[in-house]
Amino acid sequence: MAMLRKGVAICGPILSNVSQTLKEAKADMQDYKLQLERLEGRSRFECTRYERLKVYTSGLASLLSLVRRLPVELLMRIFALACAENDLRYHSCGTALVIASVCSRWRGVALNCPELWSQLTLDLTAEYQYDERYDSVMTEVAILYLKQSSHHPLSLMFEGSPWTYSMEGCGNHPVLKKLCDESMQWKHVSFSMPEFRVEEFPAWMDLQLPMLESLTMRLDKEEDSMTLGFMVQNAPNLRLIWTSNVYLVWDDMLAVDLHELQYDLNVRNFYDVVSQFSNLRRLHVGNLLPPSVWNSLKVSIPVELLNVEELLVDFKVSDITASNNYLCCLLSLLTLPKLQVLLLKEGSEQDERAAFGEMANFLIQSQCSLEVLTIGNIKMLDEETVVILRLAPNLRELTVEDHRHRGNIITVAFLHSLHASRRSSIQTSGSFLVQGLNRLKLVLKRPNADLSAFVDAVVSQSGLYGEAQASSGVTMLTSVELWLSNQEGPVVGNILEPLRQLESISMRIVVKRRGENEYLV
Amino acid sequence: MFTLLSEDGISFQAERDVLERSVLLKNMLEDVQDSSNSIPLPNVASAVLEKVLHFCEHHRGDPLPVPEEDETRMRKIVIEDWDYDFISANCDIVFEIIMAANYLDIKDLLDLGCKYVASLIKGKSTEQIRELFHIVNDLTPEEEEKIKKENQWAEAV
Repeated sequence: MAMLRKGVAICGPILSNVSQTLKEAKADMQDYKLQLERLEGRSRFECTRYERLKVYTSGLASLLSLVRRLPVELLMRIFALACAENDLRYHSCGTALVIASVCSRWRGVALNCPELWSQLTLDLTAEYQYDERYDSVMTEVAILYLKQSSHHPLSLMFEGSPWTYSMEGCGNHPVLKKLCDESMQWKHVSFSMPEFRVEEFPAWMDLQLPMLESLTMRLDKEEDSMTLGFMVQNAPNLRLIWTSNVYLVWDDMLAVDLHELQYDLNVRNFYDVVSQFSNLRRLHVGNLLPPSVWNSLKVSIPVELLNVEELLVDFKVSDITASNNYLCCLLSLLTLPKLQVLLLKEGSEQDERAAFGEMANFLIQSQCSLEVLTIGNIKMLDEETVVILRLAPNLRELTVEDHRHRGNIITVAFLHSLHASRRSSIQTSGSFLVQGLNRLKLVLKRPNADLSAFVDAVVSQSGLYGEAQASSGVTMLTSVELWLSNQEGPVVGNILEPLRQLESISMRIVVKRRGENEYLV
Repeated sequence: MFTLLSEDGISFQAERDVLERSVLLKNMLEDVQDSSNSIPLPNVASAVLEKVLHFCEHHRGDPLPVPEEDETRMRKIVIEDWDYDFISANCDIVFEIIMAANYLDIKDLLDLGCKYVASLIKGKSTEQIRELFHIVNDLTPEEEEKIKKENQWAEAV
């Protein structure tokens, strides 16, 4: 290196030495090169062996894989659940196609199970947003699914925006055209869209739907839906309609033997629609978002639905401007003599008037034999709840979820009122409040629960009081759940110990803070 | 109290109403009035049987699921809180639980296991599923070619 830096030419014996050294170095390099090539060859060989061994061991591991031991009928059952809504939106190819690409066994099962290919979620883009590439891909995948479904009854979920701005109608959407050709196979159809206007959907009106059993329509804002009415005319086997933010417009004489209906209370024609279906078994009631005028609901004679066994009410907001609230209004509208299950749930943060009076009147008027009652986030007092329970002497299951802010039901007095040996100020008679109660679930929203009162109430109905209880004809509680506020502090001492003992005498006890994994009991 | 004997010879005791969650055991108990003899379960290991009994104890008294599913609704995967905690805490033996539930004919446990596995499959790619369940790709080149054609639309985007 020093000689290089000097910049002078070399000659004589030095030149000869350098030449010799260079020659030897080149020979060494050649040797190294050969050696490296040999090592690389060896390395490649070993890598190949390693990869082969890896494949071999994963093959062996796969032979032991438990999923291989599942019989075909169980695999099909799992796959049917996994493919409950093959989502073909956003460039997805759906779960059935994924399953059919995993291994030969799964592929064989998937290809021989048309049901897996019969449940599709599709995106109906607005025409102005139509993307030839995206939509043609979805169409092709949908056609593949339809082919594999081999005329199995179809479950279809349409989401996104319809062809709102088209004069031609949505029937022009290639995937819809294909699906409309298969309308004889439609069994369950669901629309979840911003809006749904009849003049833009001429294709729907002529569909023949002999197999259709359920129709769901969720819109972003209240819409008149004549389309649904037209579709229903051609669906003689329709049993379930589920709507949200939809104003159903249809022929009053429509002959549909509906068993289950979800309808918003503050839609203009709630009363007319509900009273039209005399064979309803299950009625769900929600409310429009945002809340709208509902004065038309004030009627003098409640509608009597003779076959309704379940009423499930879930109001997401309340009308803060009204002097009444939705729940009061609904309960004054209905008489349900066969009611067995009543679920009342409000999502309102407002301090609206309690529905106690209307609830009591409703139960008296209906003369029903209530077996299951859920009171969720309803502004009511403990003593009012006790009165309601008195009107439901055949109750088997009770769930009470305290009001988010008020928390006025699950008080110590209320818990004592359920108690056998101690009488509270609001339950003074000698008998049990609800003699046949065997399932109790209490959900607390605020911290500092009185756990000892809860334990007392549960233990008193646990059968530990033996003969006295047995002779009084009281049913033993078999399931008790207490869901504490997630802000509830640590449980001190052995306060819950009696509950643990109850587990050994056939009771199911769950005590848990909401949102946490740990079970206190 | 009745005694069950697991595949690996461990005994478990349970009451009649707990065992009757299983249609198989319910039928067996109808014939066996004497509870002194243990009931052998040659297809269920003790670690699995313990979990199965835990589930049955929690659900004792629940109405037994009706054999036919409600066909007027779209199928959806809905799992109750306690059930989800139970099955996800035992996810390493979920297939054993499914097979035990199938053998013992415990419909709600079988449903729960199947729903849980289905929820694991949903939203995953082919490769992720193979990795999760230790499945080897044994597809023939012809099948691979066909799958490639089937998936070309999705892959083209």
